[in-house]
Amino acid sequence: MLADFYLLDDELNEEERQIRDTLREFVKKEILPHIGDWWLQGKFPMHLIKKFAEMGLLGITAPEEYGGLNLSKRVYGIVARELEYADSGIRSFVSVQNSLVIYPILTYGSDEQKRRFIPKLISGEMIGCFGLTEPDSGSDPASMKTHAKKTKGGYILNGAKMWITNGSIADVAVVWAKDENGIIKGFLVEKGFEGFSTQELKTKISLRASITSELIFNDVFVPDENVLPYAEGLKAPLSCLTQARYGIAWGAVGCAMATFEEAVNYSKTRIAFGKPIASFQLIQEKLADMLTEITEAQLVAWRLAELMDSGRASFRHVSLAKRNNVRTAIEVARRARAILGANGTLAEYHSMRHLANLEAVETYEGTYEIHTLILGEYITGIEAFR
Amino acid sequence: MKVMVFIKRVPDTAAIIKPSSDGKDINRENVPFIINPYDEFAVEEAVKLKESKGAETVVVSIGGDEVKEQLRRALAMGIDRAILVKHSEFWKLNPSQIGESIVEVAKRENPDMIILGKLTIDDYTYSLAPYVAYKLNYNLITYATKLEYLDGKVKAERETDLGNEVWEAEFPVVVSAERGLNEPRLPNMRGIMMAKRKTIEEIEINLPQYTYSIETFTPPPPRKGVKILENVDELIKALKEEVKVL
Ligand SMILES: Cc1cc2nc3c(=O)[nH]c(=O)nc-3n(C[C@H](O)[C@H](O)[C@H](O)COP(=O)(O)OP(=O)(O)OC[C@H]3O[C@@H](n4cnc5c(N)ncnc54)[C@H](O)[C@@H]3O)c2cc1C
Repeated sequence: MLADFYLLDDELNEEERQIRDTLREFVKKEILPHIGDWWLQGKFPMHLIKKFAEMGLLGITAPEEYGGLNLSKRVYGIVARELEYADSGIRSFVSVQNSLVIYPILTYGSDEQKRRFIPKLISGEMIGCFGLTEPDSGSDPASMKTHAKKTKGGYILNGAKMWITNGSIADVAVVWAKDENGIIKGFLVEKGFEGFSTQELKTKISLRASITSELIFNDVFVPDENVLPYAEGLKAPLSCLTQARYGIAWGAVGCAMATFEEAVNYSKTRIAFGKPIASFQLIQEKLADMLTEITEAQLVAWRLAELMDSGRASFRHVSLAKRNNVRTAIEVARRARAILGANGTLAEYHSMRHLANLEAVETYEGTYEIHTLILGEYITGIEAFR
Repeated sequence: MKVMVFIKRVPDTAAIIKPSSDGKDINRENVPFIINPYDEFAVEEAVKLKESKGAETVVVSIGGDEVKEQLRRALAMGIDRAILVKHSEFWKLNPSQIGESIVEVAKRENPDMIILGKLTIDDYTYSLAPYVAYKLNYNLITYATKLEYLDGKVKAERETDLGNEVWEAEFPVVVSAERGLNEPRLPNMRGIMMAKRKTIEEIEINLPQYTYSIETFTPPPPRKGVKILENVDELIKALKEEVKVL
């Protein structure tokens, strides 16, 4: 593959290679022919959820006793890359289920909660979402207003969460709220709980093939058995984001590869001034820069996978990768769009859709600026958030 | 019930094919390979039989280590175990030699049913199912588009130029698979990981020699470029004078 210039995929073992290849077949057959239409219609392909589950995409790193595959972070990365090759919204669905719903229940949940929710989340019978951001609290989640008041047998939840991927299709929402002492706790709010409602955001011009919703809690009673017993403080939701951001770092490489390949193919067949535009130096320079940046982003993703799998990665390593790789993908997609000229603005091609998607990807899971500050603090020892 | 399927590693149908240096075969370098599509129907059918009837399933191929890639894929789709008949240049075998290999392996395993693709896309001899059925004295159903399993026998639908037929055959039986028999599944991640734990048994078979072989191979001529015509008159003219079909 042209975009894997440094042959990094040669490092995959036989099973990993097979997983990659079947995912590529899956994406080529089930997603790529339709994604432009879904995106324009603002429709998430619900029918694929069952297929994702059959492929094993919803419990990649989860233990086998709950129906997971117990595979490495590297495989998780490959999955994110291959899915985001098609569309960031498709990858988002899988990221949320794996990293933001299954992961917190596995890490902070009781055995009973794990048994009740994880197998169904892995089999796709249940869809989950992750509610941290609020209308007035994004980059600074500690400022959240949603709160939970202890009552007999449970908590009463009030507040709202905003920008929640899969929000209105979720059977269970992992919701982060402050208790009476101001300590952040995790609540498993189920569809149908009295006082819990959702509202889908319909006017996004980014990630249109992904559902984003507001969650509203109006005196919602959450029984004690739905409170994550081992989650205390902001570090619990942040630890989930570290997992998801890792997937984004890999996914962004997929976007970059897709738009690069599209640009290369287009440039070889599009004729201007009597010859293929690929024969102009300005186009070649763009392509050479794109390949260089993709190679760099790939190296970052691969090394990060090693650090994750050997337990040496910190959230800062993940911040660098998320920040760098999403920015790279945007720059690659933008140049691909330019190489495609007017055609680049059509949904029949992929570059513009990727570019529009990546704007949200650069914002969610910690904006580019927030990751800059995380690295800045690491480098200087000086915190500059406030 | 034991079901055996035989698969061949063939060049991907989407690959660009060039002749080998001796002009008798295709150039096999840098070509992606797949399971022969008709053999994949056979694999899918066997896996479905395993799921619905608990059949024991075995996949067999002839070749070198490279063929394990296709065997692993069949295992990842759900076949229980694999047998590799070792041969360093399997693509040079003629249909009788391949037929003999299948017969040999079948004699060791005694399957109730053997499913083969109706042809391999690189050879097109259509010969194996009849050869194997004859040599093993099994019943034979060719070009099946639908299979149903009854006690100790199989019911098959076939399409002929005159109409559709339904056949019934008692086990043991050889069936050849036609397009439409089923929609082969993609292996899933669990299947791929489980295939790692399944065995590929390697065996050797002494093959008889025959006195026929492929003498030359020429790839099809490259497709001509697209020509855009302005109107129907031009089209009729082109069909008469250039394509010469009118
Ligand atoms: C499509 C989509 C899906 C999402 N899915 C989810 C989800 O599933 N769950 C969830 O909880 N959230 C989700 N989010 C929310 C996302 O995580 C937030 O949008 C993000 O954290 C940024 O918050 P904000 O939008 O409130 O921006 P703000 O925090 O208001 O930031 C606005 C701008 O100010 C900058 N800024 C803020 N603070 C500083 C500072 N200290 N120094 C310098 N610059 C600063 C930011 O970088 C940004 O550019 C989603 C968002 C989108 C767009």
